[in-house]
This record gives sequence, C-alpha cells and structure tokens, in this order.
Amino acid sequence: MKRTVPLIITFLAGVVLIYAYFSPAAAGLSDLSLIHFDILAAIAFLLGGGNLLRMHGEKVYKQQAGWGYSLIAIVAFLTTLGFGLCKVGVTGRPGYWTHLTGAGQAVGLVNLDIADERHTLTLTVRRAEPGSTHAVRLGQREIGQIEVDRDGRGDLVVKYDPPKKMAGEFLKSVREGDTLAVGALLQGTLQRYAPITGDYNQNGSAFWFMYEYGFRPAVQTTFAMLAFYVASAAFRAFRARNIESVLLLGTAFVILLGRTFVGAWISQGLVDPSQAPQNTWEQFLSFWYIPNLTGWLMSVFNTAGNRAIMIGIALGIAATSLRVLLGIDRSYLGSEKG
Amino acid sequence: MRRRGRLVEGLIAGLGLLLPVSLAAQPPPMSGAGGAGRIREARDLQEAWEVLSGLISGERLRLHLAQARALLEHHGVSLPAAEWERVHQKLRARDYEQNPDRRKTAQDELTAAVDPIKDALFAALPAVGAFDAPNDDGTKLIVLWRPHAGAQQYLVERLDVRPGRQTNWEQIRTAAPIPGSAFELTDDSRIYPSHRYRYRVSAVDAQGQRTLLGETGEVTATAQWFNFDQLGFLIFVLVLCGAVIVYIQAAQRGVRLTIRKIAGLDAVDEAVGRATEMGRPILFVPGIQDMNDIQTVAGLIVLGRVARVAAEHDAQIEVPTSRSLVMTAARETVATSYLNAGRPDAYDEKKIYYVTDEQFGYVAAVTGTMVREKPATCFYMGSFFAESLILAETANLTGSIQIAGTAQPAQLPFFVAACDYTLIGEEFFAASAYLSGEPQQLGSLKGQDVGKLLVMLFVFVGTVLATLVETAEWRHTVVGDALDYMVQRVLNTGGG
Repeated sequence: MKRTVPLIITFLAGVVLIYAYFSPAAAGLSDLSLIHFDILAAIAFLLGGGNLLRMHGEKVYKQQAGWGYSLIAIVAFLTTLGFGLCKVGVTGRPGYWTHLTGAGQAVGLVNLDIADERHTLTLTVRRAEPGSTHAVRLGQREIGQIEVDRDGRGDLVVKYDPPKKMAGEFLKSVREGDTLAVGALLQGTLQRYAPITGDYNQNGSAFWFMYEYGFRPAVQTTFAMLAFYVASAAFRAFRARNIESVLLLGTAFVILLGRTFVGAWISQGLVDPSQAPQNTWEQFLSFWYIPNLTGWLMSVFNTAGNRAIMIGIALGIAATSLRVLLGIDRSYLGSEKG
Repeated sequence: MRRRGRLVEGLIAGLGLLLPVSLAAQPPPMSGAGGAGRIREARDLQEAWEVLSGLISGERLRLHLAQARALLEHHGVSLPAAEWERVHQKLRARDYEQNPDRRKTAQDELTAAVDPIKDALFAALPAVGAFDAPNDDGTKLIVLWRPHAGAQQYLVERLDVRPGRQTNWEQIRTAAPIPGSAFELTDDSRIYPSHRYRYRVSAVDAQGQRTLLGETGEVTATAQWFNFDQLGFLIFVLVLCGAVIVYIQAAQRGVRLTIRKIAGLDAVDEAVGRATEMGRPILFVPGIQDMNDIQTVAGLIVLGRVARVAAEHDAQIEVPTSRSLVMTAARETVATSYLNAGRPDAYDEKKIYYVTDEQFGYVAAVTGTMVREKPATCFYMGSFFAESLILAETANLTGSIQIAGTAQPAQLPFFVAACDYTLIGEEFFAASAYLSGEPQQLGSLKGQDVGKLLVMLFVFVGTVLATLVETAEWRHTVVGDALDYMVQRVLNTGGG
C-alpha cells in the first residue's frame, strides 16, 4: 500500500500532464497538477526549515566543532524569517480601498492603486441583481457604469496612465475620506491601505536591507569565484597530451581569440566576409578571418554536437518517464524492486 | 474531386495529410455572413484564409495553388484552365531561372499571374467572416474580411450576444491595411468558451469616412479536445513509447539484450570502495532543482543504487539537498537501500539534510563540507547551473574521485573538464537501468534506440532536402515544400 498509492498518483499525474499537452481543452488540468505540486513543495518547506533548525540547533547545543557558524545560521534564518513575516519597516501600498455595503445581499470592494504616475481603480461587485446596471459615483462625479452579469457579478476598471493617455485623470485628485457609491445599491468611504498590504521586500524594509546589503554581496562574491575556477579547469583540460587534446586546445584558442578584440586585430589583413565579393580569392581568405572562423566553429561543430546531445537527452527523458510512469523503475520511491 | 486533389497535393508535400485544414475535428458553426461571397462554411472560411495567406507569402506555392483551385471549384467558381496553366508556366520559369536579374523579373511575372486567383478567392469570400480559431482552448476567434479599396484603417467591433440582454458593440481593434495581407485578425481579448459573438468591420478612408463592410453571424469559441498541430509529434511519441514497451516485454520473455559499457557507471563500485578504504564519506549532490524536474528524479534513482553499494561496503553517504521535497524523497530512497542491503541500523537520517533553496548559498555550504570533510568520492547527479564548476573544482582540489551526470548541455564541458567520469545526457538517464541490470529496464534502453533510429532517419532526410534546396535551387519545387513541411510541422510543433 505504501508503494502502490504513490505509484498510482505518479501514473495519474503523468497521464494528465501528457494529455493536457495534446489537448487545448484540458490545458487547465496541467495548471492544476502544477498547483498541487506547489502546495506539496510549500508544505515540504516547513520540513526543510525544521530540519535546518534541528541540525544547527543540535550542533550549538552539543557545542560541536564550528557551532558558532551554526549559531549565526540560526540567527540569520530566524531574523530574516521574522522580518519577512512581520513585514518590519514596510509601509502600506500607495492608494486607498473600501468595502462597499448597502441594503440586500450585494457586496463590493474598491481598490485604488497608485504606482508611480499610474492610478488604477478596480471595483468588484458580487451577489447583485443579475442583469442590473448601476452608475458608479466617486464623490460627486459619475465615473462609469457597472453591468451585473448572469452570475450576479460585475467589474469596473478605471485607469489613469499618462504615457498611454488613458482616461481617468480625476483619479489623481482622489483623497482619503472620499465616498464611492454604486447606484443606490452600495456605498463606502475610501481609506488608506494598512502597512500589512505592502510587499515584504519593499525598498527600505528590513528584509530588503538584509537581502541587499547582506545576502546579495555574499552571493555575488561566490559567483565571482567562478572566474578563477574556470581558469584552473581550463588549464588542466587544455594540456596537449594527445591528438584529441591538441584539437581541443587549438579550437579553444581560436574561439578565445575570436571572442576578444585580438582575433579581429591579428587577422585584419584578411577581408571581412561581409565585404568580400562572391567566388573570389578574397572570399576564400575571408573564411580565415578569425571572428568569422569562430562563428563557423560555433554554428557548425558546436551546434551539431549540442543538438546530438539534446536529442539523446530528449529520448532519455522519454524512456525514463515511461519507466517511472509504468512503475518499472521505483527506486526513487525507495522501492525494493526496480 | 476536391478531396482527391487535396490528398494528392498532401502526398506530394511529403506528409501533407497532416495539414490541420484537412483534419479539423468538428466543423464549427457557420459564421461567415455579409457581402456576396460564396464561401460561408466556417471550415471553408478557415481553409480560404490559410490558402490566401500561402498565396500572398509565396510559400509552398504549388500546394496552395492546388488547394485554391479545389476550393474555388467546390464553390462553383471556375477560372479558365489557361489561367492555371499560365501560373504554372510562370512558376516553372521562375524556378529554372538562374540569372538573378531575370529571376527577379520572373518572380514579378509570377506574382502578377497569381493575382487573379487571389482576387477570385477574395471575391468568393464574404465581406466579413469569423470562425473559431483551430487547436486552441476556446479563447480565440479569427475575423477576416475582404480588403476595401481606399481604406486607411479597418475598425473591428464585437457584440457579445447574451440571451435576454441588451449589449453594445465594442470596438476591439483597429488594423492598418498592409496591401494584400491585412485581411484578418485574431481576437483573444476576453473571449470565453461557449459564449456567442458577432463581428462587424468598417473601413475608414483618408477623409475619415466610415464604410461598413459587413457583419458576421453568431460565432462560438470552442475548446478543441485535440491539437491537430501536434499530431506528428504524438505519432512520434507513440512509436517511441511503443518500442520501449515492446522491448521491455521481449526482455521479460528472456530475449538477451546487449548494452554498451558506460565507464562512469562501471566506476561506481570502485568509487564507493575507495571511500570505504579511505574511511571518508561519499558526498552525493542531487542537483539544485525540485522533484518536478526529471533530472532530479533520475539523480535519486542513481542515489538509490549508490546508497545500496555504500551500505554493502559500510561506507558513509552524505546528501545535502537544496529543496525540502528532495530531502524527503532522498531520505526515503536511502533508507530503503540500506534496508535492502540488510543494514538498516547503519542508516543515519541526519546525513541527508536540507541546506537552502538559494543557488550560491547551497554552493557555499556544499563546498564548505567538501573542504572540511574531504570526501573520498563526490557524485553530482541532477540538474546543475553555474555552480557545477565551483563544486567540481573544489572537490578536485580536495582530491576526491568525481562522477557527474546531468542533462544540462551547458554544464557538461565543465564536468568533463573537472570530473573523472561524466555521464553525458542520455547516459545519465540510462544509469538506473544500467546499474539495476534488470532485463525489463534494459529493454527500455533498447526501445530508446528505436527513437534514435527514427531521429537519424529524419536528420538524414532533412539534410538531403536542405542540401538539394540550397545547392540545386529547388526551393520552389516539391522538395522545398517537403522541407518547409518538416521545418514547420515536424520541428516547430515537436518542440512544443
């Protein structure tokens, strides 16, 4: 049972994804499967975070070698998590909102978002009389009509977007306390967004500060070390030990020259292929113009090799997927067989 | 007659039967209206639209001419036989003309000869027509109209038809008239499946005068249950999967299968043995992607084998992961491997741990482990990006034996340069079957070879066609059509 259920889930999810690829009508199923995966991954993240705390906590508790680093890891983890969850230093998103209430079942929500120069007012009405139409008033001004559809829902979007010269200039003059009404059905008063509505990584927030001035420099330093590793790996790989190594070395040297200014400079006596007349000696010589030769090596040899590998990978993925879907290979589930 | 004509042309084009025109699943409801055109069926509107696009662009001209003739004759429009003969003469003249200047003249003459056919098709169309976009999820409709002389701009309006409700015409788009080609647009703005819509198109002249060209009947957007553009790809997938299953069954019946040696996989035992002898751990890195990446799954499959050998040799294995879900799956895999090896007591859950989702945070932690613990053997099996070389070079400096496997082509050179063994692409996916030695798993590798044979056949045919088109100037012949078909229908749709 412990193995059968995961196998059935794997098979069904695989078949659904394959079917959704070939069927436009079932495209939503594919998204649904991916959402399920995201939910699982989010739950598993709690396991991961818990494991991280347990592992480093144990190290600190037992004062094992390097426990100080573990302490830093725990403090950094908890601080970042706390800053992010509590949105320390975050201001509310710019703009206003209100709940619309009135007689009957109908409800409404208005959001007026202000991002840079753009203002967008979104009005959503639910559970209103199907087929009814209502004038929407902001203060004393009528800003549009809202049509309620057969499901009792209606939406109105008003935009002010200077570069695109959209309508809705009056949105600039809206202030806190202004009233908004949907006919005689609903009304409410605009108020500022609460701080919790801001993004956790908003510029100037504590989380942003830690990311920008703590985490990012550290990551970029690690990435920058790659340059040295490339040099040392290239030094080892390009030793001329046999014919193949010599070919590799020669090709790499040409590519290196062609990708820098040196390639064009040392072969400047040769004609640039774009300038060479057709079927002439100059055209033949232009083949050896190093930037041109580099392009040829990359587009012929490199592309051909890459595509061969890609085709092999595609076929390998298909066969592996089939083995997994059919339950022939179950070792990823820790199965005894396969 | 019309069907036979299309069949012949389809065969000429190589696999022309797979054209979506001839394989539309169900004819959508009639939607063309307005004007005096004879073509009104939505399926025919769609075909006329595709044929006109082909005639205007000049691509696969022979095929589109044959389709135009069949379509016109089907609707009772017959052009004189001499007219068709003249077009084919001009086509041959253009194809066999080698002189660039005279070729340009021949091309102009051919375009002029095709014009009456285009005009006849335009005349057979309704002034304005609309049909459901083929092979979509029911959120697109296509509107086409006859070009109007003197139009500076076309206005396209839509009416959402709701029973018992008064709705207004809504202007959805304006289109600039590009001579000979601006006669259609795809409406994908707020189109809902099963809703009914009507369209009308007006032409605006230089003085701003608006002329209504016509109005369509009601048209409904429907989601198709099968995307016929992908039919070729589906056939390929079925052949490949069928071959894999056939070989698996053959292996189960006891047919002996020979698989070539893969040095990197043969070295697994040696690498684990080295760790045992040195008394140092084995480090297994399953890439930095989550469980929804097939490379991570393949990596964990290899981990299962490595863990089993490690358990048998009493070697320690350490698995840092960059995703929580991978950690959970890896623990399950390793625990069972230890159990299968008869050493459940030796399994230590703490050796399989989550580090961080952040790429370089993970790299820093793993390289730190390498430097501190100096593992005897490092495995890199999964999906890797920029961190590949940092990991491999660090382990190289600490003197570990390294075996890598990935399907990221850009990272392969780094692993080849820095590791002792590298499983390149398909070898990585073959690893689990190879290591298991089970006949039915080896059978799947043989089935994969059938796919490779098919691909080789396609590559060979494609190369021959492309060479003929380039060197023998056969671009505008059936060879060119067949090449276009392979590029547009096989390569493009297969790539998703």
